[in-house]
Amino acid sequence: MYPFIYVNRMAIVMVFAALCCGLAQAQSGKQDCTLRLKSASTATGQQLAQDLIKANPCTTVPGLDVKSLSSVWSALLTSSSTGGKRFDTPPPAGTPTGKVLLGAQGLVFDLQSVFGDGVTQLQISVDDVPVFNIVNPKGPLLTLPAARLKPETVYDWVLITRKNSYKASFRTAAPGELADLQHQLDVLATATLSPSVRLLYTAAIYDDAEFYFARDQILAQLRPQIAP
Amino acid sequence: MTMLFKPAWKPLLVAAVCLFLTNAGHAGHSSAAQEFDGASAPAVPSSGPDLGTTFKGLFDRFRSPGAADAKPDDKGTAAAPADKASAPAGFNPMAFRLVDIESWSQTSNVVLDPECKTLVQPFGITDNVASLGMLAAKLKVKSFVDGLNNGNAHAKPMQVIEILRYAAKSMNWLPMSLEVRIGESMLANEDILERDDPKAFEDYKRGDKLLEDIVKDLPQPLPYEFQLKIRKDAGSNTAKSLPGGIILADRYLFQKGKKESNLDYAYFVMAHEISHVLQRHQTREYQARLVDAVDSIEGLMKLTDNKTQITPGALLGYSTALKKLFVNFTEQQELQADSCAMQMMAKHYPSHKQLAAKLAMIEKSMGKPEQTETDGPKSAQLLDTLKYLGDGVMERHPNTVQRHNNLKMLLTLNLAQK
Repeated sequence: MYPFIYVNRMAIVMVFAALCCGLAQAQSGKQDCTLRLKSASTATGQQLAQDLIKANPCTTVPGLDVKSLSSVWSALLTSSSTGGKRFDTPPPAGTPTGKVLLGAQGLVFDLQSVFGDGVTQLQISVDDVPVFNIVNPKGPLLTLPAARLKPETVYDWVLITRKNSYKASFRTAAPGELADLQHQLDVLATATLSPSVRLLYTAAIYDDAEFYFARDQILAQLRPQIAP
Repeated sequence: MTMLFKPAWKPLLVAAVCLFLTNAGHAGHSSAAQEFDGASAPAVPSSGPDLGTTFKGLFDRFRSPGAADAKPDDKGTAAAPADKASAPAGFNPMAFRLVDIESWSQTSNVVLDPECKTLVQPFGITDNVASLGMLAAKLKVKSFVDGLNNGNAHAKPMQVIEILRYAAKSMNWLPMSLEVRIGESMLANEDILERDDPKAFEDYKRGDKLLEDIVKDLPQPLPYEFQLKIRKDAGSNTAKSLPGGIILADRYLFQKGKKESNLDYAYFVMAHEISHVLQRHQTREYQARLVDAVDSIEGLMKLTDNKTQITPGALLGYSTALKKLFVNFTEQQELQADSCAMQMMAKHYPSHKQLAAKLAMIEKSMGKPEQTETDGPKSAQLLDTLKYLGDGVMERHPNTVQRHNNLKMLLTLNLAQK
């Protein structure tokens, strides 16, 4: 009887140990904490890379994919992709595309890059039904009030200037998509980091959650710092 | 400076650039090559004192292109050995695709074949040599006829060097291996979702299926191995092609649950991008800039060498005209890629009625026709001209009115051919 119970206990212990070990391995397999960064060409860029490497991404924001941090760093170094043949003129910088976050004020269309061409119209529709129609705006910053935008909705927009027309779409996030994002941002807020590294982490959190428009706005803010 | 760009040097410089790039592109490749019998090439004039030596030199130079440049013909003879004596039995150089160049231009930045009668432009140097022979014969004939029309029956035939200049502007001569390397280096600057990213798995699956659907309808075998990359940036519902067969697509193009009309639009967008690659648009643009830059410099030299004093207005006018050429060139390339995409759709949907219905949906997705200002300075005023030259825009897409009109015209042609 005793040996039988002993064997059974041993088996349970072994199974438990194996499970723990497997889990730990799986976790370590998922979490690669090594940052692989492209080298920057400027001294300020190299300094920022060094600052970024000093912090351990796995402990700074647990759950953040380290690849997102490397990817954000690469995106920071290449301000815009050049060459190639596009189907259509790409949307101007500062115009929302893809999955977007709504700020307290709403969503901003920053038309500064094309305002000089003479913006004549911005039309925004949902399923071919116009919901906003702005004609001959007086300034380059147009804010769509948050109260007038529904969550988890695809908005198609057409921007017409005297020189060109652009079209794209953005999708407002579903409330459920924001919980994890907010949690990671809260964790980041408690970390001790330099302002630029914090911004890079914020951009990586957005990248990981596929909020690329928000990510790009942060990168645009960071770029002048590493410019020659 | 003046000495360097004297007119006599210019064609040599063009040829040197051409040969240098050919050389650069072939570095590190094996010498497996397509067989080509220059002497039996159709329409290559066998007479003419300088044609023989110069074309022979050119043929010899092109006889051993890198393996990457070899485009298999329909019978799969791409890997034929370089040595003519060991050519496989039954090898037929005529099996290579010949493109009859019907028109030519003083500048490279002219899009030939706007209706896209030839879906796949010749790629192998060998193909181009054969086409070059035809072009040379035509140019010689044209020169002779021009002489007759001008009352000069003893008109001197066109010099070989001049024919080569025309050829450099009418054909693809940048080696494909170089093109692939350019595309790969450009990819490093793109913000893409990796294939092993779980977020992109479904998008890649749908995108790959669409790419496969388009490619299977194209003349086989294709000289490119197309590869799809999905961009992180979503929402522009568009795609982009890089030299060498890399297609970068917005993931929204393939989103799950898309309506049929949107999938047709995705097909059209992808077909358009594939066409840019098959027509070698990006590469032609590089050629145009290289070759026409030489002409541009000469033009500028002539302008500045003019005995009459040069005015700032004349210089600005010259620069504006050059810029217009390039901007217009890119517009024409876009329209041609639309034409090719339309031809691919016509193969996919053989019924004219079905094609017309699909096209109507695509046109709707492209957006309503919007007329925008044509490119160029707003006036001849110095300030406007300087602003135009300084805005840095060298590429431009045709406006939606031009695109709609082009598609309508092609649809009419499609009906006429039925």
